[in-house]
Formats: sequence, structure tokens, C-alpha cells
Amino acid sequence: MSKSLISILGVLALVAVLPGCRVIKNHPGGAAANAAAGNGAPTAESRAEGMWDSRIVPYAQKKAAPYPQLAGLLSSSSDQAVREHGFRADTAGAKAVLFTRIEGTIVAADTKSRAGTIEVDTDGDGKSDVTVQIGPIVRGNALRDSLDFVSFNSFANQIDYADFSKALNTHVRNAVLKGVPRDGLVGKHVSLLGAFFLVPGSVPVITPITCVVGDKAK
Amino acid sequence: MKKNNLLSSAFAAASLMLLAASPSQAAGLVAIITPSHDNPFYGAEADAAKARAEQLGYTAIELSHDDDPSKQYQLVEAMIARGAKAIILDNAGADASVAAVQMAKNAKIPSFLIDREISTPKIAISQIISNNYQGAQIGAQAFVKAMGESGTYVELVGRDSDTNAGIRSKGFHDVIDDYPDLKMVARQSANWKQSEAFSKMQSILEANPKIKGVICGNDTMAMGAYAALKAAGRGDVIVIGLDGSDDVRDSILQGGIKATVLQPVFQEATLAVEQMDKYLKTGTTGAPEKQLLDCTVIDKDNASKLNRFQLSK
Repeated sequence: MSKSLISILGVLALVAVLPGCRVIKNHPGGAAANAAAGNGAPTAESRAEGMWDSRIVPYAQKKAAPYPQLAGLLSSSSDQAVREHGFRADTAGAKAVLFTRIEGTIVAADTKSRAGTIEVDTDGDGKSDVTVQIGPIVRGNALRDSLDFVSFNSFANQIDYADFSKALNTHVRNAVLKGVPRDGLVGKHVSLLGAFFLVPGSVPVITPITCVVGDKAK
Repeated sequence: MKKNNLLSSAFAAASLMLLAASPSQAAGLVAIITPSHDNPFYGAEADAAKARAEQLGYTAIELSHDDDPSKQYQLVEAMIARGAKAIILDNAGADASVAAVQMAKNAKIPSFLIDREISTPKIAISQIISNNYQGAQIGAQAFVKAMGESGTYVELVGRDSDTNAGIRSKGFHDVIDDYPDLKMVARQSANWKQSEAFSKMQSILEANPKIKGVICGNDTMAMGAYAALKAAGRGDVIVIGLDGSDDVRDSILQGGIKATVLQPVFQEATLAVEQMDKYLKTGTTGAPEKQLLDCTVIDKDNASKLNRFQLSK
């Protein structure tokens, strides 16, 4: 028999034994596309939500240092500060992220911009020491880049990697910042756990992981 | 169409013959394959790779695939035949380039990718790429700030077939769409081209004379768009680009284009060559395959420190 006849018969035989199989198109678009195609592969959102309480919060709590102490350590040995209270990925140009716990007083608030922030005094001198994002728009990749158990190599492409960061920020917006009021913030006490990129010479801009705004400071 | 194919095949064949004719260098030949140097971005990354390779004792050749995956394949084939030790590649398409990199791997020639990814892991040794998504996000943040968080704007998108075009657009919208007072009135592709961005901007402006801003997927389109706006007396329009070219730097310093985003292409090219050298000498790079390098906003505060895609301290 000719080669092509054998191939045709082979294919027909295969088709005959595979009636129950559904051919799944391999989407090159990564997790989001896979989710849309119903492949059951984890989405960026499910990965982020899945690890928030079980891994991210405990990891941050373990690493965090109270801010005034951390600021002191940063000025004397920033490498030690990063080692003990943060993380820097191995890749070229990676920025270090630090974890900190803050008990302070809100001295200023900007809720006009959609990327709202508060300025917090952490050492009682009446002056702002750090900036904290209070949403609704929460920006940047500090949370994602702070995790030593997540790397770009475990994502299909840049988009999935970015979607994961976005999912973390969305969680901050919807869950962490839910109880934070938009008015009368100045003068109130704030308790939080958060992460920030180490940018020498710049005021830390903190993405909160837990955040409670209380009554006016005593 | 048919005539072009015939001509380009003839050209490709002629180039291949020329390339195959020379003997391979004993010191070690490195092939540096990128899109055309018409865009200074690619010239800068190729030159950076060549300089580092030569510093490390290799001979280097710069080649252009003109964003054509089949030309890219033929170039890789020719380099294999010529005994190249390694390939530094800024590829012609994430899916379409897999075959070429696999072919090199099969011939025991390692590939070190820069600037953009391919869609299959574990074929190239390194993929050292710009974080296009993060770059687009910070560019969009600069845009939103310059726009005062409100107003009508236009988006010019890169070439459809280039994954970076889609990644940047997504990054832009990830930021901008969170601001309900910013309204997009037109979105068109200008295929990364300055002249095309110029003519498209002219038509868009005629239909939308009161626009406040234009966000562009790359610097060459930003240059074209701004030239059209200026010519129409709308030099006040807020224009943002992406790449970090010297042309846009000059425009920023003259108060034209408002900002751009620097892709760390110089660093990527240098790093790729260094990892290639380590791999060839020790069998490993010591780094993970995929390495993402963040981009930096360039505005009037730091534009004077920018030169050929390098930001000095």
C-alpha cells in the first residue's frame, strides 16, 4: 500500500477511537486566555487571592520592622535592612522591597487624586515620615516584587506577571482599604503593615497589607 | 506582492551566499540579530552588544531580520553554517521565532534573547527583556499627571504582529482606564512608524480638533505625532512616547513632547553578552532564563542625563 493510504487509514483509525476527546486549542496568551478557554489553569487573580492570607500576610508580618527602627537601620546598613526586613530579587536592576509596621498619626491626606494617599507621622514630631496609598487606585509592583516565593519565571509572559501584581493591588483596594474613611482623616491614628520600594533619598511610599484607621490620636 | 517576494527571496539568497562564504573566526563569532537599525533603538542595542562582545575577545557581526520571521530563520541558519558560537537576538515575533531558536539549540548554538520574549521557555538560554508592561504603566502615570487626570486623548498603537504593541497598550489602559474623566476619542495603529504617525495624527486631529493629549506606544510614533500637532498649531497637546530615544530627549528638553520611558536596552545587551560569555566558558549563566528589567520615566528633570539609551547618574 502507498504511504499516503497508510497515513489516511491511520488517521481514520485514530478518529474512530477518539470520539470522547475534545481538542483544546493551545492559547499562546497565557493564564488569562487559558481561563477564558476553560482550561482550568490558574488565573492571576486566583493565584493572588489564594496566597494572600495563607502566605503573603504571615510572610510580611515575619519580616516587618517598626518604622522608626527600620529607618535607623536603613541609614546605617541598608543591605542588612533588606536582608532582615525585605527582599531583593536576583535579577539585574531589581529594586529592594522592605516591610514595615506603623503606628502613627495622619498629618495630611490627598483624596482628590484617584490615587489617594495619606502622610503619616511615625515618631511623634508632628512631621510626616511616610506616605501610604489609600486608593481607590493602588499603584506599583511593591507587593509582587516583595515575595521571595514568586518569580517572573513562573509566569507565561509579562502580561500574566503584570496581572498578578494588579490582582494583589485589587485585593488591597477592595479588602485591605475597605474600612478606611475618605473624610476627616487628618489627626486620626493609623495602624498598618505594608511594603515599600527602597528608593534612597526618597520618602517611602507604602502599599498597605493591613490597615486600620482609628480615632483621633490620644 | 508576488514581485516583492521574488525580490526579497533573491536578496536573502544573495546575502546568505555572502555570509556563508567567509570562514568562521577562531576567536569566536557572535551573531547579533535585531530589527532594522532604521529605528535607533535597535542600532543602540546592537552596538552595545557588539562593543561588549569585542571587549570580551569575540568577533561580532550585526545583522537585521527586518521583522521578518523567515528572514530571521535564514540568518540563523547562515550563522550556524558559519560556525557562530552564540546568537544575541531581538526577535521577529514571539511565536514565529521559536523555530529559529530551536534550530540553533539543536545545532548546539545557545541563544540569548534581548528586548522581547519568545513564547516557549527552555529553548533560549537567557531572555533578558524590558518590562514593557511596567514601562507602559509608568508612562501612563506621567501622562495622567500631565493631563491633570481629565480630558480627551488619542492612543497610537504599534504594529499588530509585535507582542510589545499589545503589551504596552494594555499597560497604558491599566492605568488610564481607572480615571473616568480621561476619555479616549481615537485609537489607531501607526505601525511604529514616524511618517505613518504623522499622517494619521493629521487626520485624527481634523476629526477631533480639541484633543488634549496623545499617548504613543513608542518614540518614533511620538515624534511623528508631535510634528503633525506642531504643524497644525497644536504644540500644546500633551504627547508621551516610549523607548527613551535621543530625538525624544531633545524634544522634551525643548518643551515639546512631555515624557518618554527608557527601556534599559543598553543594560540588556551588555548583560546578554556577559551571560553568553559565562555560559560558553562554564556551561551556565548563573541566572534564571527569564529576566525582566524595569523601565524608567524620562522627563525634563532627567532628560539631559540620557544618551543613546543610557541614563547617567
